[in-house]
Amino acid sequence: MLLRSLPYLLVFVLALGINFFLPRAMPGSPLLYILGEEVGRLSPEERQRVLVQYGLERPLLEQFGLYLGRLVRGDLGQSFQSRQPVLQIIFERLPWTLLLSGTALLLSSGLGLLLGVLSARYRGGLLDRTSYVGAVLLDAMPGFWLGMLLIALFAVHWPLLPVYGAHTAWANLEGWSWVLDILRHLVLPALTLTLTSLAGLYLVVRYAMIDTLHQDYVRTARAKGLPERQVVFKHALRNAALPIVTLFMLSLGSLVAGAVVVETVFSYPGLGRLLYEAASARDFPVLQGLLLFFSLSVVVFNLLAEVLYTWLDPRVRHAEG
Amino acid sequence: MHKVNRFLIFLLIVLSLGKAQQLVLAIPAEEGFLTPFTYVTGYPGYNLLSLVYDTLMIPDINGLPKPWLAEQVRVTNGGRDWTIRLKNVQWHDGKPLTSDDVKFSYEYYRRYPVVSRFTSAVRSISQIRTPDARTVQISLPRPEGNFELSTLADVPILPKHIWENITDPKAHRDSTGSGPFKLVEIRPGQSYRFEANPSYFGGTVAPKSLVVVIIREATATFQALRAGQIAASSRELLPELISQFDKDPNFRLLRGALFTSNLLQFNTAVAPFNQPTFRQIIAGLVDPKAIVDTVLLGQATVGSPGFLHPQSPLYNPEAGQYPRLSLPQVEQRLDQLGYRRGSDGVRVGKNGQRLEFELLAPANNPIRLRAAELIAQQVRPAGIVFQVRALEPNTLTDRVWPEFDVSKGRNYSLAMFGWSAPVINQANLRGMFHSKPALGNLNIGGYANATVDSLTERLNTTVDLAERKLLAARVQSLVARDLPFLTLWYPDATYAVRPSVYDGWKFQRGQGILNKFSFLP
Repeated sequence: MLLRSLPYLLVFVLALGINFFLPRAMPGSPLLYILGEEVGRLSPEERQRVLVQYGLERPLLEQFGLYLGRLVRGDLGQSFQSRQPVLQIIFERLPWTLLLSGTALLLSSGLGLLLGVLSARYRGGLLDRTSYVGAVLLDAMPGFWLGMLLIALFAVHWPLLPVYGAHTAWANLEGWSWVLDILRHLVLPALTLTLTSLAGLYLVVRYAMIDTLHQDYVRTARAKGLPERQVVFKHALRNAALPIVTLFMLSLGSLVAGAVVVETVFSYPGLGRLLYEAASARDFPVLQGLLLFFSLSVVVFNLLAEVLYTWLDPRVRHAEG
Repeated sequence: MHKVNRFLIFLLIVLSLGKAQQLVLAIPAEEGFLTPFTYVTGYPGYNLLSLVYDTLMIPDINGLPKPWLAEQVRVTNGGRDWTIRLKNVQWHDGKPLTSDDVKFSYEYYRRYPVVSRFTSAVRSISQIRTPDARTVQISLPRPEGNFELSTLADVPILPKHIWENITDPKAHRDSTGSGPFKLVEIRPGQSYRFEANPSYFGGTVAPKSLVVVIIREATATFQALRAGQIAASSRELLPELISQFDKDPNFRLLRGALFTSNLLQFNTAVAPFNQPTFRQIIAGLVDPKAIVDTVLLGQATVGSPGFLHPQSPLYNPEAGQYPRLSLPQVEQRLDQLGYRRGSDGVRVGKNGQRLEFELLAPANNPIRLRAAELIAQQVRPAGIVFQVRALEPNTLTDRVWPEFDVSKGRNYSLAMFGWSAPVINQANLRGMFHSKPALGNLNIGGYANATVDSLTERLNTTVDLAERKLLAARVQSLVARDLPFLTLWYPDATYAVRPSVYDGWKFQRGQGILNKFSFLP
């Protein structure tokens, strides 16, 4: 186990370095965003004073050393822009991302799994053909376009749902009306995200199932006279589970990275939008904090996927043993 | 059945919230905490800030300075001494706003270890005296022509009793001001909520409650407006949406000029853009009117060769329009300069330099990008190639204005660039055109003309408006002749608002509808 996590540790350390140096390799200075256009009116000494204030005048390697030192103590630094602790900013946005991406992941996985299994079972039938074409179409649809289309339909043409935000900005709702308000705001972004991410899992499930349904043991199960539902879901799906689980775990890893496009279209206050805003503002501490957080979750879920893989498939365990 | 009813009631409650008696306004991005040290953008950030804080003077609806916190502003000693008598004003917490607060604020911006956006505006002040609680005397070492607009009408006054012990102003979270609104809530990344200041000195404030929500996408903003989920937006309508909103009886449109400038910037330090004759040829080929008509669907004012907007108080009508040249005229002039057509039709100079240049344009600004493409088409028939290169905006700024310090040089030939409204508002001609980097801190093309240097220096120390007009007029004529850049257009803004929710909007010349006057009688 320890040996197995070693490569992941290495990847994480590498990611740490990349997260630090990559944003700084972008041309353009954070000064404009710290000070606005007025930066042009400042004397070179005053500009230098600002750089010193933010520790940006030091050599890059020294900055990296300081960053690592603080990181060990659990300090991700302060945002250049808002001067708030990065960790606090991330945790303010995290619940919204988890809600939106989590909902979409559950819906798209559930739907993808069900449709994938049915598609494979009734391969070539009407359901298979329509869902296959539908999935490929949805996959090709840009998220912002689909989002705009849904807004035009369900917020403007039929004024049923809100266009922006995660809850009503001015209302101090409580209890069920609060929950309902959040759900109403969730519908369109979650639907957009579900539809655009449905195709991945659906296609994997469909192929994996088509493959397993042709295996001898499935024929045997059928020959034994087992009910079809048991054959498909117990015998075939279990054996097709490996690639499906892997894909699901990978999606879990990128769950916290949110959905930049959908969060932007629906002005949803999640981490994806925060990433976009921090990148365009050259807010290095926030950017580093976010990338660190994302890398960490990808690494952790990959590791988990591997562990789960061994548990699910005894062959892997035995091959190692 | 019972359950269904309860659900319907919830639904009705939530739906009816959208029709509550308050104004919901959208802005495109988060503005941080609203203090003079933490707000983010010049527009609409500063405008939101000015709903909470006040300045001694204020640009009126036409952009001319008038007393605001000040009852009276008297200038003596040839523009060196300013005596300000304050109105009887209270802070949001009920304490009186006194001359001590003014002195404290101006000194705080200047001395504080954190350089703020207002540091440069108070830098030159040599002394501030407070003979009594309502009188402030400010002394300058030399006269400053633009002191009213660039300092008195720009620098927010802070409450001393709240800020005097604050050592990290950027981290301080308190927005007690004296302005028409009190900030009551911020939801990070989502919204700001304000309540009207019931005892505002400038008059009765409406509406009682103002909610500012963040909607990132332009299209989503206007969909929310159409769906009635917001009543106004700080964004101007996209040109293609204007007629739709105009036809809809639920909306009222407010139109006016903005002083944002859009330029084709030359690097006048590199050949052939170092020759005025060559720049004149480009000016003769580029047709700003066609850009306004095609790219902006007519929703803009064609740029003046003298840079200042025709509606700005110091505008010189004699700067006229850019002289157009016919293709044969251009061909003749290029021949005279020694540029002959090569085998591929592109002209080549005597020294072998091909007339092929990179034109940098910001990738996030489709209008400037399309304008750049159009310019490239307009110069092509003369055998001049502009390769349009879209760059991420920060990267572009880094090449045109490295480290925001014109003394650091520049790394481009041509760029689509522009300045926000205050540069024209405050007629900052010295910053734009002076050849010394310390004075011409916005002179990103490296333009140099000794007469312009001395004229702009005089402009900066002249207080008398008539004399300022004369000096500014001469600068504009010289700039129109030398063409350090081409002023292509200033956008005309059209805002759509829902009058049924709130209808007190006022368009402040050059600035738009998000200003104090929109919320005062």
